[in-house]
Amino acid sequence: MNSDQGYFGPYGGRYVPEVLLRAIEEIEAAFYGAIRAINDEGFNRELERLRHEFIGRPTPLLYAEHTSKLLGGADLFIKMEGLAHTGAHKINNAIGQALLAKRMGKKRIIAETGAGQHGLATAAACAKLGLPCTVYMGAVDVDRQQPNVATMELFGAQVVPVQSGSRTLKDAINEAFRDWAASFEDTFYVIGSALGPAPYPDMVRTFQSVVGREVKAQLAEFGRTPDALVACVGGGSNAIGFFEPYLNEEVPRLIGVEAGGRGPEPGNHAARMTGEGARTGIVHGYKSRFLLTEDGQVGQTHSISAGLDYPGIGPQLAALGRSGRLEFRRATDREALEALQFFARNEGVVFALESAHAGAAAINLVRSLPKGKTVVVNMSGRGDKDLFITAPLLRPREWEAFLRRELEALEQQRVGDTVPAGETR
Amino acid sequence: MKPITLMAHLVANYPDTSGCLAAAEALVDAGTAYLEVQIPFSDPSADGSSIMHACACGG
Repeated sequence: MNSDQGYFGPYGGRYVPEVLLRAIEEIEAAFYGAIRAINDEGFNRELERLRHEFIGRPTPLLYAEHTSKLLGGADLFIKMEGLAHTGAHKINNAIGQALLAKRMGKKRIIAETGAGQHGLATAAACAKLGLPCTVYMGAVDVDRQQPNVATMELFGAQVVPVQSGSRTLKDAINEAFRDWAASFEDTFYVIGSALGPAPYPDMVRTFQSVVGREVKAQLAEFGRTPDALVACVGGGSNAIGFFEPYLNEEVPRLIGVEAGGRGPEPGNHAARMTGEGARTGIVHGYKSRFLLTEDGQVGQTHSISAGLDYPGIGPQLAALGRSGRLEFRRATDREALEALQFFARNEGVVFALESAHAGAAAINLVRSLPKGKTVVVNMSGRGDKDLFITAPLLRPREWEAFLRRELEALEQQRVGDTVPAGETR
Repeated sequence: MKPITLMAHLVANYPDTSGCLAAAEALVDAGTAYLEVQIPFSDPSADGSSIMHACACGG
């Protein structure tokens, strides 16, 4: 379900500085050239090979039998997208766009990242394809997602902490655009969310739709068709890829879950489709629903999950919400954390905090639907990366003691290192 | 040949209301023909660090 000249109903478009227009048109031509050449020996075959060998596709579809039994309602299935290489769905798109960049003869990749999952995926894709990579990341996110920063650097990427604005994802996008305006001749900007100027939303959905196609085939193996699909929605890349095969159908119900944060007051959440906080605006090159202040400035947001902590939503998702095809819910920080613990204990699966928002909504939905119905939740990422957020909340004392011991060990090591050469320690 | 006219760019309300007005008057007095006034925005993605800073102060 492509855009109409870059628009999805009233949303989308290509609101960029003139200097970037030619670079974006070039990407558009290369993208449609690559994906339409179905029998092309090159692009699609290489993409398929990398999906299999590098990403580890297909990712499993898990029947959550204990959950279904415990809650006593519908049957729940979990799409284990977090088992994809680098821990989330982001790699599906990063590999696709990096491959496109290579086909276009670009010599350098830039990317923005919130939770670090898109940055991590892009850094891995670039290491695999032999391209240098710079990742812009808000300074606040650098601190709350240190494990991803360390791994990106291990992949050889340069991670640039962004100090402007709220020092989160939106500021990282601004900084990436600033780089690109000066570097587009040899540089490709890999956007990770289903947003930005056209053709990015179409491109991200196309590369992510492999998730939805797999779910459809895997459910068929169980002899089922879905009654409802549930996914978390920040920018919306996992949701739009997961929902894609069903967008033009009337069933199943498609449910997007936004970050309810600490509560409904402005600045405490990142809910654009539920509640009163959002209206139409143009930010980051596209028109959609944004959390804006009375003056039209971009509002503050909050979520326990960095990946949902963003004031806008992909234009196609906004349009599908407006047309009624998508239903939107929100889950709070606390509900996401509870869902994370629930699935860990009952299914042996640790959701990423982002995906745990979808998990929370799925629990409620499964309870409310009759037996025999089929609900699928997309675990778009796995939770390893969130240890530094979940551990201080779930086991504060032990975590603090551990960190103190780590610091002491580091300090002792430093004292040891300053012993002049030649002396025995 | 027509002489080339000078256009200047200001971020509204930077560094504050009176300072911005004084700067505008000084620019006009010094021969500026066109004054471009930018409304401060939280996310000026097409601008560099000087204008970003002015937007943050002026907004």
